[in-house]
Amino acid sequence: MLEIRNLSKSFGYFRVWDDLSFDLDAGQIFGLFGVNGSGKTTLLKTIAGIVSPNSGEILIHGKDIRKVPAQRRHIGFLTHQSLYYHDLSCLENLRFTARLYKLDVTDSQLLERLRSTGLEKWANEPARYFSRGMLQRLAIAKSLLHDPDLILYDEPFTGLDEEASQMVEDTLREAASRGKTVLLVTHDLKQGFQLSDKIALLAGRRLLYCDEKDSTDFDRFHDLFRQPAPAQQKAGD
Amino acid sequence: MTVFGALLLLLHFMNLMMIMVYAPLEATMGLIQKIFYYHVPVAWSGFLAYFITFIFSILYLVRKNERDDRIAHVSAELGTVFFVLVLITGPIWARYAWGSYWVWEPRLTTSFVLFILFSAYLLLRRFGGHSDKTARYASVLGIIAFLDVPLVYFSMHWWAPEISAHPRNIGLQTEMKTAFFISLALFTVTFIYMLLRRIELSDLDSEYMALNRNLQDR
Amino acid sequence: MLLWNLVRKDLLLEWKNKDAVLAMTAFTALVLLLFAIAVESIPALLRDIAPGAVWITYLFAAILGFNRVAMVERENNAMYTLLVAPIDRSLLFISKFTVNFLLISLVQVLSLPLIMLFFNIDIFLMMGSLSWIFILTTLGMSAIGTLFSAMLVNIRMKDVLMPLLTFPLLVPLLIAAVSLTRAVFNGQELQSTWVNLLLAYDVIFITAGTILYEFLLEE
Repeated sequence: MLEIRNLSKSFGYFRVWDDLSFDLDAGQIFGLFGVNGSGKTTLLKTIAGIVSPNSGEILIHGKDIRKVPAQRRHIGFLTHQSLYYHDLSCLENLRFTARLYKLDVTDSQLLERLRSTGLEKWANEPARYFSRGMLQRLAIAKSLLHDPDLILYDEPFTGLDEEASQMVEDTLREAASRGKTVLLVTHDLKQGFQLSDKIALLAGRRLLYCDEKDSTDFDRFHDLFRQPAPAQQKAGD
Repeated sequence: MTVFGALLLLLHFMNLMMIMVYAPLEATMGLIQKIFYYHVPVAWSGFLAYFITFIFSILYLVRKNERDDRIAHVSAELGTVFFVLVLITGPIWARYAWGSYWVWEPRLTTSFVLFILFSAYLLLRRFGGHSDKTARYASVLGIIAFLDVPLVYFSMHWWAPEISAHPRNIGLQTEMKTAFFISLALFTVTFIYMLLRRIELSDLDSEYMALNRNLQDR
Repeated sequence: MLLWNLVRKDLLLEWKNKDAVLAMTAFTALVLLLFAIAVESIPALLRDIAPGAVWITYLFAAILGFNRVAMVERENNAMYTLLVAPIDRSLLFISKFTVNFLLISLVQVLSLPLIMLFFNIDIFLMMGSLSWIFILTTLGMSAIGTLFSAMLVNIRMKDVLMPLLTFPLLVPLLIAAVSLTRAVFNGQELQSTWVNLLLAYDVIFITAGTILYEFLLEE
């Protein structure tokens, strides 16, 4: 469903990754790990369309999203920043997003969405006054509003309590079971490992490891993760 | 110094001789008029430099080739140096020719506006850091700045048509014309030579940074 | 329609806290007042400097607006939502441009009574020709302002850099606007060369802005 071909990116003289290639199938949760600065967030942003790669292709359902911008409608994106407007209410934010994706939804349908994330009481409150957990729930509602096939979540668990964290996990599992593809970046190795179907490690400017979770030994992966970059590179060779 | 560079230096010396000796003394303004043989070619080279920045800024946005961006940058640098010379030689001439150092007149104003905009361009590049974001911002600025040129020129022209103080097609004597065109050709060649050397330097610099970075990764 | 959705979002946000409009209007009122006071002792001079004073004031007030409109997307990285969405990015320029144009025009309308009072000009009788001048000039200002406010949105020194970058570019616009406004104030005929300049300026920079804007948005 998602095909990455020979993706390269550098910021000026600093090369982030060279020649990345991998595929994701529908119904899978793909856990992407790596130390700070390895380029995981940049990769997610590049697939989402926020950052332009220097070269390479990003194909969703076979079409390159750089050449066919309309294909981006298959993407749902979430990051640890809220991504919406402080002065607008939940409802107004969702309404704006719905119209952005040309969705024909009524206010009552939007309220239903809010109900499913437990936010219906705050439907008309400006987002400015929300707690972190509430903001994250709104962000999830927003990112899934248009029923995207590719879900890109960057550190969704940051700053969440147990209950909210569980809700995010449930949402992702449920999406995968409905045939959606999830690309998840998290620094919590254990939680991410548990949640994923496929595991990858981004280090030394490339995918050092990429395989099914079931054929991966957690401890060995953990060791690989904790080695300094040059050793990671050597181990991958 | 390369052979060609030395040759150019020699040619410039000869050019100076030619201007001082061969070109006749102009009737009204006398010796000061000879600044004209430097002022115009330098101005022309400056405009050419900024035009190159304009073209390569567009090329960079389209092709995203880092070298295009570097060429745009160094051309802007050179252009600004030339424009500083223009803005120095201009008022000197103006003081003797028209009686005041500055007049709000199409070419002067255009030159000044361009100078400010491209100085801003250089400042942006210096303080923006080495990223493609800075390169993109600078490219946009380079394109917009140059698009403004004809508009500034014509607006000033219509605003105060009586202040077309810049001599247009002055009746130049043949010797003056010769000296002028030689000077013009020489400065154009000098500019292109300087630009090419500067691009070479920039290429080397880029290679060095790439090697340096590779070393750090080990 | 998608464009209207984007414009409405910005207008809605502006309506909620009225940041930009208040700043722009207050500034315009104060500066016009100051101009009038400074020259008050020489009434004939007032009429003369009115065109220049008015347009300079609008220019500075506009900058206040541009920066605030651009800042909207900066909080919480709301820009990401717009970038991820499957929309044509030139629409983002057009929507911001439209919002800026509307806000500046509003401030201009609000300033008309002040101009009448301070400068002693029967401005409401001149609205026929003046409105065209105002619209054309504001279109040009908005194009340049939208483009550069997006460029500077994350930079610390943007309040200083905005005027520095935009004013040299706006010189032709200023000259044309002042000349035409002066002609209207004095009951003279409008010179077509200036109107043509405004039109050329608008076409060139709105087109350039629409094409170049998206290069400023990506990370």
